[in-house]
Amino acid sequence: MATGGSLRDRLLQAARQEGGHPLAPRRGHAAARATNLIIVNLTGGLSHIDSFDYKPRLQADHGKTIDWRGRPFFLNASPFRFRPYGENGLPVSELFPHLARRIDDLAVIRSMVNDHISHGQATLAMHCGLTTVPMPSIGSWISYGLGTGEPNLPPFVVLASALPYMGNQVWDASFLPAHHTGTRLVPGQDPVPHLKSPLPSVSLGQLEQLMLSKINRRHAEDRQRDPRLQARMSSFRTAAGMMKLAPRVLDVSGETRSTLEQYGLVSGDRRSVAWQMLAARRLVEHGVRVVEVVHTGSGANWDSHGDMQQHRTRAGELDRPLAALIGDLKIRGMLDTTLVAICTEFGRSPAGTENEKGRNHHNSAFTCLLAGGGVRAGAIHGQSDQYGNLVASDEVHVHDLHATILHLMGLDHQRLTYRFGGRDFRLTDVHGRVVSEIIS
Amino acid sequence: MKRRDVMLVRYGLLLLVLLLSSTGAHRSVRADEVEPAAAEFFEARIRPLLVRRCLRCHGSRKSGRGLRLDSRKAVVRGGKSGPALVAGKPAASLLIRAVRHADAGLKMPPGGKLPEEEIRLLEHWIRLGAPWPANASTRTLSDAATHWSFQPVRPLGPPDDPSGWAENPIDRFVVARLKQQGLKPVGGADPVTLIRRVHYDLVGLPPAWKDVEAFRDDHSEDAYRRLIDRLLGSPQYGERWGRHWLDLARYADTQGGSVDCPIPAARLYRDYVIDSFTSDKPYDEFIREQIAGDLMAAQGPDGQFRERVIATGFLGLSIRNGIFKHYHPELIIEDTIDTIGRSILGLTIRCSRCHDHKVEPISTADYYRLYGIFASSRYPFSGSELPGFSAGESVLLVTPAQWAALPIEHRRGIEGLRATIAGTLAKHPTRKDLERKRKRLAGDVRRYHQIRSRGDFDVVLRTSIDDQDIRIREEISKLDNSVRKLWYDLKGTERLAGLERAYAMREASPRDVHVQVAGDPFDPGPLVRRGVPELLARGQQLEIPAGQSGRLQLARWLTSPDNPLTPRVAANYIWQFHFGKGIVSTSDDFGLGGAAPTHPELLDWLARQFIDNRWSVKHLHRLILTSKTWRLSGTASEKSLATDPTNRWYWRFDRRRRDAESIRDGIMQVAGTLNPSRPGPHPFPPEANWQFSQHGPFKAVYDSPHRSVYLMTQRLQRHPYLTLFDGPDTSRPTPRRKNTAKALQALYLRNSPFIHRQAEELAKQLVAAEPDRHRRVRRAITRAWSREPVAGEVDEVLSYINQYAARTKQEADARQGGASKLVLEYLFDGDVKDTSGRKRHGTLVGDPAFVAGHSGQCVSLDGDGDYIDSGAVMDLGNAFAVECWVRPGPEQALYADIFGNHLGGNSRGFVLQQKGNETNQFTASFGIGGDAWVISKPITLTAGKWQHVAMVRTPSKLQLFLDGKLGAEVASPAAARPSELSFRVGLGITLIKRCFRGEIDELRVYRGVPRRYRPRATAGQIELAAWSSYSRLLLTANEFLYVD
Repeated sequence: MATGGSLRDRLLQAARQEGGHPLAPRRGHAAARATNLIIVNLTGGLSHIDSFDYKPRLQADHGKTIDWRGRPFFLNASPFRFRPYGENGLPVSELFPHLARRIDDLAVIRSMVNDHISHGQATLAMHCGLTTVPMPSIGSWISYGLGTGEPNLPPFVVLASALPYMGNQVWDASFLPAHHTGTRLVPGQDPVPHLKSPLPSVSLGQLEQLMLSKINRRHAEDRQRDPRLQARMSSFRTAAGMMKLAPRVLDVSGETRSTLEQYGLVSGDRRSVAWQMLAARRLVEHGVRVVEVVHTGSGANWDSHGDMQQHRTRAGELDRPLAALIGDLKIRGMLDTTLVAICTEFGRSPAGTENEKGRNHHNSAFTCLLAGGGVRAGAIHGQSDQYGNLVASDEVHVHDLHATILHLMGLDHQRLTYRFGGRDFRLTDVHGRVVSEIIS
Repeated sequence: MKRRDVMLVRYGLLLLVLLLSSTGAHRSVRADEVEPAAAEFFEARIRPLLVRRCLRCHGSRKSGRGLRLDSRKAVVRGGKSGPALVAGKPAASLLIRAVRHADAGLKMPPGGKLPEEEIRLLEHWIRLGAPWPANASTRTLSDAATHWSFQPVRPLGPPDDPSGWAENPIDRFVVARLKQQGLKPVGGADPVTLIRRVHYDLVGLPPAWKDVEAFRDDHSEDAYRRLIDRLLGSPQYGERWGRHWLDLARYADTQGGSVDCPIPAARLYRDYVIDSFTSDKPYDEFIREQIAGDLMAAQGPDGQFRERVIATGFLGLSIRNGIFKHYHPELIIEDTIDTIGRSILGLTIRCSRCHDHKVEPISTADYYRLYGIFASSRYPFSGSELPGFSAGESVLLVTPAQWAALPIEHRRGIEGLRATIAGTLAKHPTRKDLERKRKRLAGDVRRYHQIRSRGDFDVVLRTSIDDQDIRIREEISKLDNSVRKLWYDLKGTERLAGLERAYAMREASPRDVHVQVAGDPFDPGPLVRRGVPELLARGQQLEIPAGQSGRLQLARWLTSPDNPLTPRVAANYIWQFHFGKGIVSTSDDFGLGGAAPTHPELLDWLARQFIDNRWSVKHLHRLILTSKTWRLSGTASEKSLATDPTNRWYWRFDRRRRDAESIRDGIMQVAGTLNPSRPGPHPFPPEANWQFSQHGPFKAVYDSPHRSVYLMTQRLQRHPYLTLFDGPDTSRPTPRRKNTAKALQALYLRNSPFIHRQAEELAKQLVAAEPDRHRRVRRAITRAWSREPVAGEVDEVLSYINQYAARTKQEADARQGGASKLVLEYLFDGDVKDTSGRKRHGTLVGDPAFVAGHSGQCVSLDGDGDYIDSGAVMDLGNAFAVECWVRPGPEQALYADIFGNHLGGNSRGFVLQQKGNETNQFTASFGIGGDAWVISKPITLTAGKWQHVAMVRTPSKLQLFLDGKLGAEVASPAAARPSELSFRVGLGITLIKRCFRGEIDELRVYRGVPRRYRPRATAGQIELAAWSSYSRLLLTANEFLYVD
């Protein structure tokens, strides 16, 4: 413990001992391949066998029964047409024509497994690692591990028109310091809560803030400039910065016509998936560490029990803007340092009752996609069995996916820990393997 | 409703945990010779790999081939195929040959080859000599025998204080440590700081100024003691300290799970906690009631029946899972045990659900001893995804005597309905299905047990068991739902009889349980008797009489004066809530993994005081608050700061930020808007209307003028305000609040409607109460900050207020467009000359006529192609006005226009236009680019009558005036785009038929807004705006948010 320096230095030192500024950028455990992360969360369960995991045997054996978990189940073929794309020739269904043309930029993991078959628990696992109790979200872990490059924006932003399963628990910091909680933006006129001043003019707000810092400064001077008081004062400066910066970041009107067209964004729209994807890019561009886009929420989502044709509507909303996002990041040279993770809590079952039009939940084999940020472009990893029922090779558990994402961000999932309730907690609990096969 | 939303839990993944330490007590491993680096490699890489890849089949019991991979000895010994491992020689090790698929007959694991990386890890490990470190928990068992917190609370006296500084025994403990560290305490806090501090501490609200003055001026010996007594005697004390306990009890008004159904009766438990603190209920009694209140209630007296039953809400509020009733009961009980462990015992017991605790001396057997007690109890339930319904899982609060005293018709009504419900359920066809399914499941579970006890494993059977479990829950939902209507009738009848229901515990049929191997409820290990962890029992296990769950015995054991943990943990929590940090900083973890106490003797002394003074929480408050230590100033001394920057040894008092509740309550108290009473039930939707599901879970935020402890808080959807300011986690105990200063909090304090509303309220009261502005500032500062203004402060504030008011007035004028200029004027006195001097003379199109008008002549338009074109393309900016007199005809064309310059479609410009075919309903509108429009509400004109209309555009609004009065307006900060079309009178431009029919006279266009159309901000409004601004500063400055 140093004994030299002024009183002020010592107070600062005391503050540092309590953790310093919690959002200051920090180095990870290793060199990072990606500095930013965009998670696209397809809620309800994207059907792997109707999108990126083509099963010719399933198509051929339509209507046959298999013994599945002790009961007869009828195999149901995909109602969608597939054709091969890209250099790797991966068959992609007609649901995703735009994304299919980007297949050479993507790594496709066809051997995902999750621990639970219910939406809530599976969604929790996909975000927080555990199915049972709410834990810190992956975005919060990354914010905790790396801090942020732009203090005037939150480190972890979630674009969600509607709440996903398990509500805001999926972007909660839980026992991590609350700075790392995801900030939900609701696409529309006023996406950031309390961002707009109700005062009639900017200059009145500035006048008021000037007086506030005068009052606070004197208060702090009488208290030996306690660093905690200073931290509170600086939070007001950050807020002011955010009031200026956030509307600019979220205003897409300065984008070129051709960019808007790629995303399929109509001028004046501040709500659609297209806007959300473009906003995600702009947030990352301005230093936000992690952005999650929730498509679509806990209702009217990918949970196509009744009819797989519902997937058409969802894909129609998502396909073009998502493909545009990846293309846009690439053109701007951002894809090298931005990791895009396209995730869903589970897939959909190849079998059900006879001639069933929809599909049920399926967590024992499904598909997630990664792009950019150190991911081996064009990789196809893992296989499900002939019907897409179980993983046939190279299983990637949700913990493994998390370990891989952290690894790409320069974080070691075994060393990114937080002590709480008597033990060191990790995003990956006591599991997780970095899927090195999909890293370039 | 999606019937298959929940299907199967995938079995393998239930094995989420380290299995390698075997479940029994036999652990013969030596804590030997493994180097730390090798041990770390094994723990980090190899053990998890074995668990994940191998132990499903080569686990705690021998597999068909006799191989176990859960200890080094077992691996070396091998199975029927021979030793699995030759240390140092991977190529010769059967384990490696199997995973390399070297022999056709032996390919492991069966599901597919391991990734190359993992195989290399195994090879590397064997090459190292297969180091296998001893199990951690063998070490802790011996350490535990001497661990400080498991030792009896020592009867210690405080040390001497030769310096004479100490005033009470606490000070003597503290000053002894300070001396050891070479530290000196700073001086005491001044009276004003002290009263502010003690108010925050005990009631969470700022003191009233008159109380501050009285205390400051009261120099009598016992002034401070009287202050403490007054606060401890107030109901606000219970609301503040009850909240601390509610944090530990992970209180919420909803159940959790995917549906998060409301628990309307949860508030009874909340109020019980508050009242218990207010009345200083002995802490041991308080704990006993929460664990076994229902059983105590049955023993009388009747006067305590209600509160004791309600108290078990502590257990009842354990978090629920998924969408079915009591789904995953093992997780509900896990939450119960975790909550008791961390809140009462200061132990992290939950880790032992799946494996022996890695740090604490708690085995899985210990865990299931406790588990059995709660498996023998019945939890309440409030609802699940439709068609699930569970009205019956709550407790009717009625003693036998009260029941007997009920009017006969009530009793008959209730009994009749109960019988009907029972009868309906008994006769229900689902009943048979259910029994059949239960039988099948029981058979399968037995079969599975046999397979497991042979060491084998059957995935299909295991997943089928999960599947059947869910089908059975679906049937139960069906049954429950068949009597839904009857239950509402019954509850209504109960209410009529004046009875209420509590979310409380009951006894179920008592049973000991098996250890659940690796936390899998369908994979039983040894049967264990109900009780408490062996080490803590110290040879005296609970004696649970037949027919009882054991909760009563557990409750007594927890609160026995000999229990070394409960009183220490409670004393430490109380200390922590006074000082902001505990003597044990990990206040929920007193085990081997927790922090050591900074003042162990002091903690024991406090615990002993607690026990000896009938576990009175208020006694501890008095001891702590009257110590000199607690009354220290917050000022730092340079020397001490250098030695002890974090104030570990209490040489000063730590400044604290108000917590979430205290910020909100304090603001409302200062603004005079706080309703200090206790509110009634939350405004939940009536139960009969609940249709919550995982796709549409319950979600609400209820506004309230009451104290924040009474806010409705949810689990799935956390309360936005409380979360923002580091409020409690509603899903698990919160032993310590965090204390962040983040920008989103600043945005809330700066911009939220709540702050603006409260500040305006405060400003109104200040202005009304005190006409003198100097005195008003003083009143404001004393009211919000509990102190006198300092020299020069009042003048400074007034100069700010003046400046704010002046700017407000100036900007209000500017916003309304500044001075106006007439830019076009048609008087229509026989011609369309522009008399504004701008020479924008008009052209008549069609055949308009000049007739007698409102003043002189006017122009008359036939609605069939007549209009006047000014020929002038004008950019009027964002502040302008157009006015004229108008006498409309009885009928108008679709979208007839009185004046304007827009083209329709996606053009720009503005227009005063009829709303579709609604005759003489006119709206003002302007385009803001694309298809976007700003449109006002319509005003209604009367046919055949002269009326004056004006369309006014300010930078923030679009307004319509009718006969000089504001008729309609819409807020719009959007910019009006200048039109490329000339300004015209009487025409919808695109279609010739969309013309106005009627007379128009004296039309004027202004750039800027004439004074008569400007809302004048009154001097009073401007003054209020300025005082509101200052009030916001008072309520959001650090001086308000922090307590010295």
